[in-house]
Amino acid sequence: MEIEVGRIIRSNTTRFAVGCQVLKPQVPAFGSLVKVRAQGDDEVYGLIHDVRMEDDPFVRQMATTEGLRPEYIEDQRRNRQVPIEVGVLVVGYRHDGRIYHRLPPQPPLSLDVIHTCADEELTAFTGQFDYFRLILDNRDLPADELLAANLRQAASARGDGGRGFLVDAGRELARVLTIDLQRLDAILRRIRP
Amino acid sequence: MTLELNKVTEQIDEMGRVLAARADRHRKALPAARELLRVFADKQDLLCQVAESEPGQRLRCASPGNERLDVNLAAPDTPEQVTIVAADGSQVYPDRHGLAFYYVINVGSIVFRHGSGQAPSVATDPHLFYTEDRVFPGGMPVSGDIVSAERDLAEMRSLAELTLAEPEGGPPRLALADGPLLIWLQRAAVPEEQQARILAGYLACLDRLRRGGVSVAGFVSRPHSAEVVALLYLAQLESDERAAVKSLHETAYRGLTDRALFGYLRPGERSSFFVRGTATNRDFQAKGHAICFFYLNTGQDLARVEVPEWVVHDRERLDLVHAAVYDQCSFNNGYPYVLTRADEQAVILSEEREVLEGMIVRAMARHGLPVPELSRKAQQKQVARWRRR
Repeated sequence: MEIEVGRIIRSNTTRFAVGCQVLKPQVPAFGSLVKVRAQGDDEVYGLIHDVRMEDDPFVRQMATTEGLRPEYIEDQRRNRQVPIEVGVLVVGYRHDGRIYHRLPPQPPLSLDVIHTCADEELTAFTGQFDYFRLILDNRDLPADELLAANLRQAASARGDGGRGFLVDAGRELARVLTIDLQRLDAILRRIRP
Repeated sequence: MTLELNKVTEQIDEMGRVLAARADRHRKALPAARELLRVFADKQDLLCQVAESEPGQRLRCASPGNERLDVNLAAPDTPEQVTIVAADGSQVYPDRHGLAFYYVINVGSIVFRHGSGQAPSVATDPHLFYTEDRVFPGGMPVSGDIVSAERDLAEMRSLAELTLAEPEGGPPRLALADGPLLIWLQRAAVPEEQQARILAGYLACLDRLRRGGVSVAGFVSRPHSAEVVALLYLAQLESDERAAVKSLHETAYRGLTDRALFGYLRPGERSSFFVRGTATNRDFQAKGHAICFFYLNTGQDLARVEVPEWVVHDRERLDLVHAAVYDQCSFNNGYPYVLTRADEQAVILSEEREVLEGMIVRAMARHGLPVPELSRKAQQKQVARWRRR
């Protein structure tokens, strides 16, 4: 089932940020694959790498108030215009029905709607591992954790086939990180079934 | 040039000295004033005579209620459930140097269902005024004072509508306004016809609230009035001495406020209630809505809470106001949470005003009007102030 995450508030070719007001129970989750319709019928895929709740002095003051009742908390969470910002790393796109693990020709536009991907689409996207590089090259992000989280979700979406998927993914990682064994070890430990 | 601070340093130092001397004078006058509060605590009849006398009217003395003057009453328990409605307004004042002559009133509101666990309902109700009867009432350009009075009326209408929309058989309901309930209408710049219309509309709202069985209050933060101090000062004088007093300003109690007088209240405690002594209150009194007040220690501040007479004469309603306002303050740094949120809804930011004006310009152009300009004065101010934006 696809769930709406929010709308794009800024974007470039490699990343975009999504604004939403309330966290839904299932989303946004770190490592989740999301998609947004781009120009034409293309769809841009990305992984949620950051969920940020902006504060303001009012929220800070309330955080230190003792015995805060639910009405105050619900008001701050649901009514005040302090959006939750979700950071997304672009990992590919779909064009003419085919998935590409490379950066899209154009970024999505502001206010485009972001959805999560259903299990079938996550399975289809992670059928190949060429997107690993697009994640691992981002040294300013928790890239290893992000990839591991995504692989765990992709394995879960495959049900009984998840273990075999993780073994294949581990092999691909060993190839990509052949000169960085420490990093390889750290990721493999995170996806160990 | 910016403000050359080096040219005001001496004045600032002098200001500090004057303020310290004033505080010292108040410190010395305060014990005597509090002693008068104790001495006259149960002499309500005498105090009422003083308040109603010519000097009492001149000094806008408050009248005492039926409680001892020196009581300090602890906050009752807040009911498990109570619905608190707040409304606050903001405005864009008319500007004859602007792109068009108009004004905006925006009322922000919140319906806070204490004890429900639910998120409150919040809303805004913006209105643009541009027709000739509104911007040139009686052929004269509308003034800021009229807009402020219209805003007060819009706030009270919003309060009445939202509060009365809550179910009658449900939790008790409290309508809370920001500032005095006793609106200030007798301004030179508000024509009498406008004053009468606004006052009638305002009092009609209070009628509806009273009939609806709800409570209503106005919260005044850091009040400066001295209506009780003036009453006590006059009460201690002989009749002929009273007649000679033209203003509290010429006495030893100059600058001493009621807020200082009731500074002994502890968090949650309220003072006895009084009836406001301003002339406008007579219009309210004539319709059964004489505005009364008490002082409340909100936990961080001493505020004045205004209520109509039908609230103070109903102990349940008065206790509800006392308890609910204090409860709201205790979660929000000594100021009612609902008023902070209503203000947050209402406020019109300068960026929003710029967008609004852009839309107005486009609408004018769409209807064949030449693109409007700022006055030359406003344009040149913008040019000269560019660096300081």
